[in-house]
Amino acid sequence: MGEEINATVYVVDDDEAILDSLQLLLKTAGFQACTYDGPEKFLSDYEPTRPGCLILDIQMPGMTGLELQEILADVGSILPIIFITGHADIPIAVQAMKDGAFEFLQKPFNDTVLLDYVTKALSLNERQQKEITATQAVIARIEKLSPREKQVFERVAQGKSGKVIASELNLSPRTIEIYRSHVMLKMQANSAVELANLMNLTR
Amino acid sequence: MNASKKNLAEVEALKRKVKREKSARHQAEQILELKSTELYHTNQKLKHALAELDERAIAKEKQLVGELRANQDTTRTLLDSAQEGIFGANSNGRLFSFNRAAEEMFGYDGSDVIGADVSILLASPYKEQSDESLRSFLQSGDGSFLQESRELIAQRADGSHFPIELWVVNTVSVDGTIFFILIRDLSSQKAAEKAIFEKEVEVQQARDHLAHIARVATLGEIAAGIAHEVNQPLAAITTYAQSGHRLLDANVREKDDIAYVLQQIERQASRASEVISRLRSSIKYGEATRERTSINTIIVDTLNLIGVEADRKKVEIDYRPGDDIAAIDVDSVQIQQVLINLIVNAMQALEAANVPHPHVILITEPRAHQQIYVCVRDNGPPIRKETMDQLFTPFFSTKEHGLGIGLSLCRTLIAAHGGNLNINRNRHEGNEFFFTLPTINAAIKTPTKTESSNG
Repeated sequence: MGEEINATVYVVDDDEAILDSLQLLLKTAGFQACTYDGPEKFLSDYEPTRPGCLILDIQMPGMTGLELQEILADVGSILPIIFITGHADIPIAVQAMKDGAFEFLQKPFNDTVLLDYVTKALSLNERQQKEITATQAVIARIEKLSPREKQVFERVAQGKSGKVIASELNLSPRTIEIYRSHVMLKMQANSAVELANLMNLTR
Repeated sequence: MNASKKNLAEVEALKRKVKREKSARHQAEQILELKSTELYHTNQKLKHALAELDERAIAKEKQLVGELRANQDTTRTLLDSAQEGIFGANSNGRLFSFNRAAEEMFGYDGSDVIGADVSILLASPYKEQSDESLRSFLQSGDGSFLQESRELIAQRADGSHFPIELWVVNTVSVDGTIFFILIRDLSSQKAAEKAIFEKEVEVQQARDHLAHIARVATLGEIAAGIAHEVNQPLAAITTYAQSGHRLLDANVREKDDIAYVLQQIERQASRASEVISRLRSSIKYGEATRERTSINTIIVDTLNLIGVEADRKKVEIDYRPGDDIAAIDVDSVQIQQVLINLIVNAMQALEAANVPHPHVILITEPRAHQQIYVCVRDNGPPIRKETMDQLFTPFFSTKEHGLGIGLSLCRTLIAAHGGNLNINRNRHEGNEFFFTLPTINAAIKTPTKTESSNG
């Protein structure tokens, strides 16, 4: 699993001591860590495709953690975010969780809890990354279908019979049967149920 | 027969001798009688002459004594009518006069102290000092004793003490130099002074107390920021310590890693304790104590304390220190309190009004007449003119939970330092509060200038 080795724990905090101690902890626990003393620096380094998770401070001069979360959401990032904050500001925590934060931790934190969150966040990211990859593959396959094949694919996935599709498209059931086998081949599916699953992935 | 003849002759001779001697004595007696009569007459004459002389002398003396008595009575009346205690002393320091006021003050009867030494009227250590300085005056004829009035402590007949003001007047009489000592009882004046002083102390204590309460209240408003500032190093320490445990569990051979962890823990611990001590010194309770410092030091300390809260509120603080700012003798905690108050007020107003790009500018400038000028400017919504009039009124507040003592107390604290705090009424954008403080006098200015150029 080459991807998992490359997974990086990104840490963004304006406090140098927090960054340094977290880097040491993560390194000691066997994670690959990368630290940034501000959201701006992280953004200039950020590549959406790189797997990992983000440990993010909320209170920082300049851009706050919540603002960075918003920017990442806007660009479609799936990086799970573990927020860390100096004091339990409940409205902020609620907001962060509503906006899709993975976890919320108060400083000083328990290392076991933090590392547990990190492990879970990384596996979530990996899973999501795989789903995205799979979806992208399905989309690529769908794009290779001819317009007619696409019409047949959608209807088969919806669970319609060959006769119904033939009457809807004004074609003979025999022709529909030919298109259906082309679709199965191009979509790498063996049954109507599998086709339905592939279609759901793209939704 | 011969023998009887011879005896007869001798008797005759003896008879003749006796007769001769008798007549000589008689003669002498007559002379003596004459002389003594002469002497008697002379004596009588002399006696008359003397008697005549005596009579005249007595008359003269009587007249003199009468005049003297009249004179003494006038003096006595005069002395007794005086409000001041007055007593006379001769050049040996012996009392010869003691007026009624003095009797009342000291509780002595005049006759008790006449002839006694002046020093019985004074309490130690003045008793001894006055002895010396009076004596030295008596011997040399000058000294500080006569120059001006002095305040000292007197002792009554019953041994109790009381404060007095004393003058000495000297005059020359037939008996040599004599002194009149005038005394005013300062008991009631001193009691009044003491009462005033005690009241002042009381007022000062009340002001210190109020200042402390306000200081704690103000710091409460930036407490979240300060808590965060302490929590950061604590969080780092926790994480370092946990990493240390993991390193030990993993049986690392590298001692360097553990040493690094320990060193970092130490560093972060002292960072936390610095924040605490900074906070402690800012809320310390006590009498105002003046020390020589610079406004720059106070502002930098204040910004350290307030910085995190400013970050939290997203307020940019811009400090523009002036050149050549002289040193000041102030209570740093109180000046810091004023600064925190002004800055926190500005930050709260900026936050409440949701001003875009909120900022606070701090400016220091030297001013004429050995003053420094400090101003706190913000870009918040301008305070209304009607509100401005009430800003410094105690218990006036525009904040929902405001105590309304902040600004009025700030003004009092600055005034207690000889300065002036006010709002600039002529600004069209934002608000500007300013205060002045007297610098230390020009004579000591030079060394502090070099000091500030070093720093």
